[in-house]
Amino acid sequence: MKNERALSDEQVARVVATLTRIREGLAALPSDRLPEPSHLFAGGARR
Amino acid sequence: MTGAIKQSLAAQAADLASGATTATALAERALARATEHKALNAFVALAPDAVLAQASAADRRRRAGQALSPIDGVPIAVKDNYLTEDYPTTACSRALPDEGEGIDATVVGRLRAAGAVIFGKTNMHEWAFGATNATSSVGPTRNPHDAERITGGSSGGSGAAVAAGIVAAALGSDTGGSVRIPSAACGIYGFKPSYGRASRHGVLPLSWSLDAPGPMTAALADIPILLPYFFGEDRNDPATHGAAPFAALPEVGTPRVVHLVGAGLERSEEVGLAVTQALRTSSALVRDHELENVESYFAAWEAILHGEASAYHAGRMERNPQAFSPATQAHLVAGAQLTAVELLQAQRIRARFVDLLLRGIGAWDAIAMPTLPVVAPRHGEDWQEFGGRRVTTQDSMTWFCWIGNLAGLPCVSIPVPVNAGHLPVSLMLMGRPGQDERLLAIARWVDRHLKGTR
Repeated sequence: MKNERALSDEQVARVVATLTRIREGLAALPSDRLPEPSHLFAGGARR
Repeated sequence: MTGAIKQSLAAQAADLASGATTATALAERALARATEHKALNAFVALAPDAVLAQASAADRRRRAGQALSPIDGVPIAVKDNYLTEDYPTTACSRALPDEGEGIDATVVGRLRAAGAVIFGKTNMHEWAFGATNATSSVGPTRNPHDAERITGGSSGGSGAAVAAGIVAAALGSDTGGSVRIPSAACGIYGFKPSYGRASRHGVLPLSWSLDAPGPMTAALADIPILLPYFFGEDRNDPATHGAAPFAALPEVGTPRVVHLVGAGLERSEEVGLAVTQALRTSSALVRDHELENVESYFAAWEAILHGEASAYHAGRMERNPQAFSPATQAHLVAGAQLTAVELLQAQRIRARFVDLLLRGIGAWDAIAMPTLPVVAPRHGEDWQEFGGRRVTTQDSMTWFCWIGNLAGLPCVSIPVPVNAGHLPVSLMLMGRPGQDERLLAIARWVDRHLKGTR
């Protein structure tokens, strides 16, 4: 990717660390026990 | 000056109403304090002539018996991601926004229409994508309690400006704690509204489904004075469709408070003791609840944050990625590499989290945690150690606050008593979605007990 080629080693390390943490965290909850997509974000304020 | 000028916005408004002070006196004092505290680097733009002209106009209105509101003539500082007609808006980045200049964000426009003196633009973490305020095109802010320490962010300049007594109130925005974090680090009050109750029109986005604008103030009583200018429908912000305007605070009895603990919610001994003591002093009915799977819920917040921010900045990253700081650029590259499946899984985890908090942890009127797990870190400290954890300073700042954004809950940060000479510590209370007034009433109950005034 264009953006990746411009990154320093430190930036690449940041990107990898961020993605690894997100992916490991998302994978830690079994997806078959999660709500259906129709129940997406229900936390918003209304009235 | 015409008499002593008090620090809270409520007191300033009362003094204006009684004639004990004038808008010009308030503005002159605020400008003098801004000069006195210039080393805090709280402001990115401040135009004394424009401030004094607004104040003079407010005084003329009040003398003619035509004050526009109780806050006509009160100076209010504005974070540099709110569009303002009289100041440029940079988000403290060299990757400048495309949004139009010369217009006010809805909240700024409402405050201006009420006669508030739009005082200046405050320093912030670049594009609000960070919670230390260390990354800014104009350099970091410094904490008024100890200049060697950070203010936290991303609304760090607003926190410093209020804590230093330059202004009694400032505007912030909050995606993972950016109102509450600097409020806690600087020892002031901060409020993040429920998602969708406060207009974000003209507030530069970080993450659409997490963002909320909110006030940062010298006193808790200042918050309900300002929230009417944030709340209610704004046809320019679809998330506010059907949103109720701000209402009077209800009377509340002894609140039932769930204190969240568990792996991923550790705190330093100093903070833990202060917050535990504050909860005891509050007379609330407090029970601990151990929250599980915190790292998965945090990952959902982090995925949504990165994904939405990268979508918003895609064009800017395509045109000139080097205009961003290296840290922000890395965040945006990471977000662009998340897959659609990962982002949808994050949203499913979010839905489960909302259900868990609202229905799965028993009856509660408020959820409590410290706002921060540590006191304000020193400049240059990359890591924080507390409760057996070693985490980046950035992660320590959002440690608890992201919960309120992921679930869309209203949140308030309240300074708690600490021994003389110690740095500020704050208690955070979260309420049910849409019940911002009830949360504020509970916060008032707690704050009065902490101050021994009940």
